Amino acid sequence: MGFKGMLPITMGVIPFGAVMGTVSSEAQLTFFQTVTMNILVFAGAAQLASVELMTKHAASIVVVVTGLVINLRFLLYSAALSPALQKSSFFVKLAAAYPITDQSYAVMSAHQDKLKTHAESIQFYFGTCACMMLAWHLSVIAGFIFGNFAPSTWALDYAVPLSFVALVIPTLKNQKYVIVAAFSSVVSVMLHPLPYKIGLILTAALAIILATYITRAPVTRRD
Amino acid sequence: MSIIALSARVKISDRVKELFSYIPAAILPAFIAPAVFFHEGHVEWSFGKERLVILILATLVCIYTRSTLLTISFGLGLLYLISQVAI
Repeated sequence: MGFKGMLPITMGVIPFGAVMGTVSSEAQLTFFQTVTMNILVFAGAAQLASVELMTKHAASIVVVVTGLVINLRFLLYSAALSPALQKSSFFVKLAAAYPITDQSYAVMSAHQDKLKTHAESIQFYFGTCACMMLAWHLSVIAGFIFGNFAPSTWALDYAVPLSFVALVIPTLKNQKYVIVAAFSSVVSVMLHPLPYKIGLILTAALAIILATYITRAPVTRRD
Repeated sequence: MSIIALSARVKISDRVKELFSYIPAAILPAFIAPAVFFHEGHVEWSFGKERLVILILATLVCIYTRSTLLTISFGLGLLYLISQVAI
């Protein structure tokens, strides 16, 4: 079910993977280096930023810290997913932590209400991750070998925000969720110019602070 | 990983779980909005941001159909049509 649920989302992943493969090839990385980085990092934005920094001969520590900052949002995802994995063994948690991506988290969130048991949640989650890993690795390899093969007129890059629209709508259960989503949209545009995707994590942090405020329990007055 | 690993040792309260449920609404729009307003496209549409209009229409499609595939296909198809008309 998770694999099937992730399939439409791969439309936006494939062109991004092709870009990653193309950029790696142009940066003179070998096929082995590209595939190894893909496996070890498995985070598109961080990989792209790292390759860009490496082509500019940035210090290794800068490359590593940049990747860590860009990937800070995965802390939020792991926090949100932790209730579903609470009853799992250490090895399941270890295996679950590695393949977290924006897309697998978003698909999991959109379907979470339909997953009644712990086993269903685990199976669904790993299904989404398997689909994502397959699509990402194959598209990066294809991009490395063939270049950016998707015609620009198709504008497949717009599939990413469209897929996130389809995934965020089911999670907007009431007005408070809509307010948080609207706030996040506005703030993300204002903070987008910040480097290394810091705006993304700041936006999320501010939106969660807002959620904390609007969902606080009403103060009862004592007369 | 650290938070997933800690989840067995730390009891997650209902209040925290409620706040966790807001994380998709807090972070996913942060991917969507910049993609609409910061795209350097080649399409020039006299009415303004065509991608914003497509996003609004795709949102309506999503609300009515609840289908990820239809939402993406509709949005990309409409964007392609507009780009062909603009040419």
